Amino acid sequence: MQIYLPIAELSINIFLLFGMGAGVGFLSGMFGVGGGFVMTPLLIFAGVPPAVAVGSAAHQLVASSVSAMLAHLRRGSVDLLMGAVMTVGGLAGSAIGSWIFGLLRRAGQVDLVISLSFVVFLGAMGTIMLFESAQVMLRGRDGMAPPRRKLHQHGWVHGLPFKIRFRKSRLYISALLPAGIGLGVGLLASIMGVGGGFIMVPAMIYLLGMPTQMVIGTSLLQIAFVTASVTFFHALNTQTVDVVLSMVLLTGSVIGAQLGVRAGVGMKGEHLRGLLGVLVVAVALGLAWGLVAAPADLFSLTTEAGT
Amino acid sequence: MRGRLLALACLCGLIGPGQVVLADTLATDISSHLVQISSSFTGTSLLVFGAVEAEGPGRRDVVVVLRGPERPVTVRRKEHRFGIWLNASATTYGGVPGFFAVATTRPLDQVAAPGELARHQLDIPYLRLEANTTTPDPAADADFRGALVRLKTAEGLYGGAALPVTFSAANLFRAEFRVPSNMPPGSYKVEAYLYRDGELVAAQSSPLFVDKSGLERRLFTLSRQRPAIYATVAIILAVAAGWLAAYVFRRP
Repeated sequence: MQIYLPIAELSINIFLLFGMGAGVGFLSGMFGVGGGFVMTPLLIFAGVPPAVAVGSAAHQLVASSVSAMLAHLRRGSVDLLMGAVMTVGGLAGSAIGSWIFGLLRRAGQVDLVISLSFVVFLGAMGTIMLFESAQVMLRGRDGMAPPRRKLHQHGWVHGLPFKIRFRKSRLYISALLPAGIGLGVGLLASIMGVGGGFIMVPAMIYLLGMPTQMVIGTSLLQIAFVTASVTFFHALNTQTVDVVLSMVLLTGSVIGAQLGVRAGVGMKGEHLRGLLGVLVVAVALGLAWGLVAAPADLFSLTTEAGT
Repeated sequence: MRGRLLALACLCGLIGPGQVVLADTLATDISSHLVQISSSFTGTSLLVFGAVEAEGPGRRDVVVVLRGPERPVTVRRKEHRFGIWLNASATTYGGVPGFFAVATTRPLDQVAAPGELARHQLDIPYLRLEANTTTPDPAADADFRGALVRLKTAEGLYGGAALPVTFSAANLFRAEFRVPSNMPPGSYKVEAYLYRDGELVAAQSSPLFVDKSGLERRLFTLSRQRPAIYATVAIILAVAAGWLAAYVFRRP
């Protein structure tokens, strides 16, 4: 059954879309990641214009991050103050990112930049994940415990002004740091249509030194607001948010996520990370191939607005 | 009726004031003046039919053109740079019809002279596409034009003069146009031209509107005309959906 996407202006099989949503939801439930980094490339592979894929993936992420964040809020694993500071940075980042996105679109380079960003970020992240999980698996076989990290590392980071006490995370650090992380992730969110959890979570653990149990819930709070802001700016500036597309994806992903959580329960952390690493590298390679391989057609058309 | 048709044809610039207009008449209509693109739209066919009242001798030919809304279109060409393929050059053309198909009784070159075909843009090579480049390079321009037509043809939007106009009786003709699901919304024109021995003797133009219908149309219009409201509604929808999902799947 075909469904017409009014903003993407194309007809697509509704079961394919639903299946993509469910598949990505399954992954996000299983691995505990947002899944935006798979959603945007999948939509591009399915023929959705990259700019619309980004806007609609961001919109779909609003729903999934709100629902996951509420679960964390109930468990008390959200640092609201930290989340608010990161959100302020994220909102600024998404505004700047959306402006850049508009410029790139007019220059005809937005598809290239989307693909390049994915190749660079996913390639790097996937490789790191693969190495890490391989190391852990090898160490586990030798029966050695991983070396413990120091809880607090003092450095240039602690000399920054505007220090705030984050009670819930038991931190006294400059607000510029979480705001800066939020800004960077906001930029990524608006250009790639991802939540940015895959960058933000390590940054919060290693750069901010936040307690691990607070990290996911707090990052989800930021993601919920930032993806909402990305949705707003993209809908306003480039009209690339397809509500029909994102609502079908979202229905699939909600169901997929529940199944994914169940599937992931029995699996070891390093195996999950290894699998995720393989997936991330595969997506990056798929997009890289699209850039490197000689295109089937050198020419492309864009119908401009107006007369 | 005849007077009105001629007046209309003159008004549309189809018949120049200097031309001698003979007493032939042409009347046409379309099976539908409104095509609605709904969520399950998979294309449709449009029947253009009409009657020719021929007076005097000579071979009559009918050419029917279905022209889509004109928009500027940017053609981009990828080049291999820094090891990857990226859009390196572009040209924007104005007045590009979003859809173009022609039906004729005989091959166009037998219907009228090239000058005549060009005047009314009766085939793809005669489309007047204006490039906006400041320094036109004839070779590159030909490449870009060629690519534009080729891609539009591949999308099923440009048909050229490939369809037949058939006469079901001595003076009744019909032409069937197949329009694909990706036809761009907007104002279309159905133009019918009657030639007698290569000379234009009558012409008629009628409008056709293609519009998105139902929810799709409302969403599309809202997103373009009131993007802030569209964005706000989208966010509220997503937050509500997230809330609902969290409520339904909450762990006890």
